[in-house]
Amino acid sequence: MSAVVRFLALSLLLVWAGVASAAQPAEGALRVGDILSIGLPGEAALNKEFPVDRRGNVTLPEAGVVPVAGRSLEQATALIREALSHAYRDLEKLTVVVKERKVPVTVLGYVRAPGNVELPGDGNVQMALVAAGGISQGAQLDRMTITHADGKRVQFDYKKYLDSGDPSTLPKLEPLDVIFVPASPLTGNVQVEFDARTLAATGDGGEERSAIKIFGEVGAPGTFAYKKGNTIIDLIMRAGGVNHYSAPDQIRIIGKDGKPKVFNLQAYLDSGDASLLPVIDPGSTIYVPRSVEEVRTGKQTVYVMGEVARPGAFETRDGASFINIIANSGGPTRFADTRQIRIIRPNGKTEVVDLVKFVDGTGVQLPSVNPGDAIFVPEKNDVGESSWLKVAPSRAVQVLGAVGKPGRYEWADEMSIFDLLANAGGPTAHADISHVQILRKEGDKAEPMLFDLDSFLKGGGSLQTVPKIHGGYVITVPELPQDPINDKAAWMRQAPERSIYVMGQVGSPGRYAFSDKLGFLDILTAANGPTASADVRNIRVAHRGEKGSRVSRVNLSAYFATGDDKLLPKVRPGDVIYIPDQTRNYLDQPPSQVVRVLGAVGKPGRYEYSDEMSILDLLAEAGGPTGDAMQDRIIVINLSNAQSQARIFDLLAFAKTGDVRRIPVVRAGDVVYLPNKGQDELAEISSAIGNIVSAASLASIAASLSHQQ
Amino acid sequence: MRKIAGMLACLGLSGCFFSEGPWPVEGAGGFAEYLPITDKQLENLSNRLEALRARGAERYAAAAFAEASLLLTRSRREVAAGLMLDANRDIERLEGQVEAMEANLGRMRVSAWFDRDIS
Repeated sequence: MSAVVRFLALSLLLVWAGVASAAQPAEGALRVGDILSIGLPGEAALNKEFPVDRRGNVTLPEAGVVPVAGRSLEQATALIREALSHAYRDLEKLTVVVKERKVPVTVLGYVRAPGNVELPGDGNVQMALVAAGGISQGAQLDRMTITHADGKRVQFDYKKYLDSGDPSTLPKLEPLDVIFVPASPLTGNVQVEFDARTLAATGDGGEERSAIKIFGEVGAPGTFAYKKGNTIIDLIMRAGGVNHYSAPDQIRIIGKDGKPKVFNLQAYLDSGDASLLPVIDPGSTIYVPRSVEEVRTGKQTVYVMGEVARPGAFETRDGASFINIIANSGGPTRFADTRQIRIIRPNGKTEVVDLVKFVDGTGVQLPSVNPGDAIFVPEKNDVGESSWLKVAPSRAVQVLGAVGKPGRYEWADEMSIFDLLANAGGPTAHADISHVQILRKEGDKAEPMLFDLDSFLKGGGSLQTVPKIHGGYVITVPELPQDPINDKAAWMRQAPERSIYVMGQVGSPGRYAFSDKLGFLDILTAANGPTASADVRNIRVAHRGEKGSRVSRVNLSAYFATGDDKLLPKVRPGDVIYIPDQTRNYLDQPPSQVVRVLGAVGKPGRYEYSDEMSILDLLAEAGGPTGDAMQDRIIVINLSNAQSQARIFDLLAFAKTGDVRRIPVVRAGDVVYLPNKGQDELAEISSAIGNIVSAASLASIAASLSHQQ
Repeated sequence: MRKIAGMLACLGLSGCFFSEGPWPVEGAGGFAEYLPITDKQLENLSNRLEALRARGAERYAAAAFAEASLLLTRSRREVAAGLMLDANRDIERLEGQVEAMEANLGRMRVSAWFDRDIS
């Protein structure tokens, strides 16, 4: 009984001791993670290593589980011997030694491979983290925790260990500890892939209450961990420093009292006075505002505005010239209109400065610039400038009509009309450059003048004769009428004194622009030439604008035959050209120009005749003699004021002999008559009667005479 | 009997009036330019015209030369046809034209020579 009681008491003692040791192991006691080496000669099953598992037990062959954690090695050996005694007889030589000590811990949180890891007996937190695959991006290093087996939780600053290398800053690891690596609050509540560099740039403040918030015109605004002793300079540098938009003299700091204080960084940097540095409380907010331009005024200030590189207010000294000031402002930009720089005086008066002229060395003096003046460099008006209002009327000329780009152009008096027309795209193909009209404006009056650009371009001449253009003038380049048939509106704009009139049988009769340099053939060609039915031998030109009236006749056919220009009349603007039809009224043809062919021909009528022709041509033209014509007695009557006569032409005899001497002369104005055979018979009868009667009368006269005798 | 003879005589004379008379004589001169020139003055003018042609009148005074040639033809025809009054008038005109051409042609030739030299 006493043995049983002793055994139970021992067992209770052992159990209590085991539990107590597991909770709070004594120095030198066995722990979870220890590896025991059990030796028993001749027993191969025992001669190996037995680890103390996470429950504090070792598992022996044929003896089962033996709780050893928390016991000393002697106690553990006794327990093992006791357990083995049921299976083995001779345990005298049983040896139990601690071969190796290991620390099994669990690493959770922001590590790459969370889970159980086994460390050597002297392993620390860093080794545990490495064994767990290392810390993940976004881990909060200064707020890691260790939860011991007894539930006690310890927070530690791993970053501090990394900063210092001091192992004492890390808690000592015990078996079954749980290391937890928290996430930084900056990672937010959404799991996303992020760039650690970007994340770190926005600050490292893990503790919201103590972190310093820096924003505004700094390089990397963010929340940064508060460190005691850090100055505002350290914090601003941590935030990437101030940028060039910042106002370093207006930095605001809101401390724990909630009231903003202004820190003048500029003053500190200028003086180096450390007393100017404010005390930064944990959780402070620092704001670097944007620089706001200050309105600068002063007795020596000159203002430069507009298209310069650095507009602003400039302090002048006595003797500072216009060029000095413009140069200090960085000079005109490429958009500046340097011909129209204005100086605005304090009394409101303005003065124009033509910098280009000055640079050209044309003797222009630059005005003096005094304090209080403002220099305005206006924007240049390029071709595509939408606002034409920027150019004052006194500096603009208007180009209208047949130019490439009609419009309103900026003007400078040293330019010429050629510059202007070139800038306006030049005259178009239909421009009448011989009549460029310039409307000159003098005060309230406008006076037109004409300029023959065509003549000047062709013939040259003194440049003094080229009209001077000034701002406000209007230049009109008229158009040549294109086709009077299709565009009557266009030729209505053409002055009558510049026109010539073409009527009758031409392709496009009408009114055409004409100048003294053009000729008869020019205008005839412009009117598309004579039509097929035109009578080119009898073209009439009425010369107007002369004293009295004069009409000349043009034989264009003769011109084409000889090519002699003297046959072409001199025409001038205002003249009228008439090309008659070939089938015109016979009244239009004077008798002196035709030969009348009468009688027995195919087509009796009036035929135009030239001395190149002969009666044979006439007969052929008139359709030839008819069948009953008396071809041997064709009568030709030569009419003349001085001498008229009638002659016979024996066509048959001529045809038989070919004797040209038998051909009678025919001239324009003559008559050709072909009697028919009926008339011949009647003539023969009357002739016979006449002969008979004549013979009878002669006989009677003779008889009467004989009776008288 | 006398009365009868007188009446017949009247009838016979009236027969002359009753008929239209004989046909005109045959004409000539229509192609006189193909025949030799018989008129001395015309021959002279024709030679002068030919001389003008040799001097290039056909080129330098084409219209005037053509007109003069026609006038020569007309004059020759009229002379051949016996229309002497008309012929004299035309010969006069022809002479004037030939003289004008002779005067002008010298100037034209000179200026044409200068043009050629300059070009």
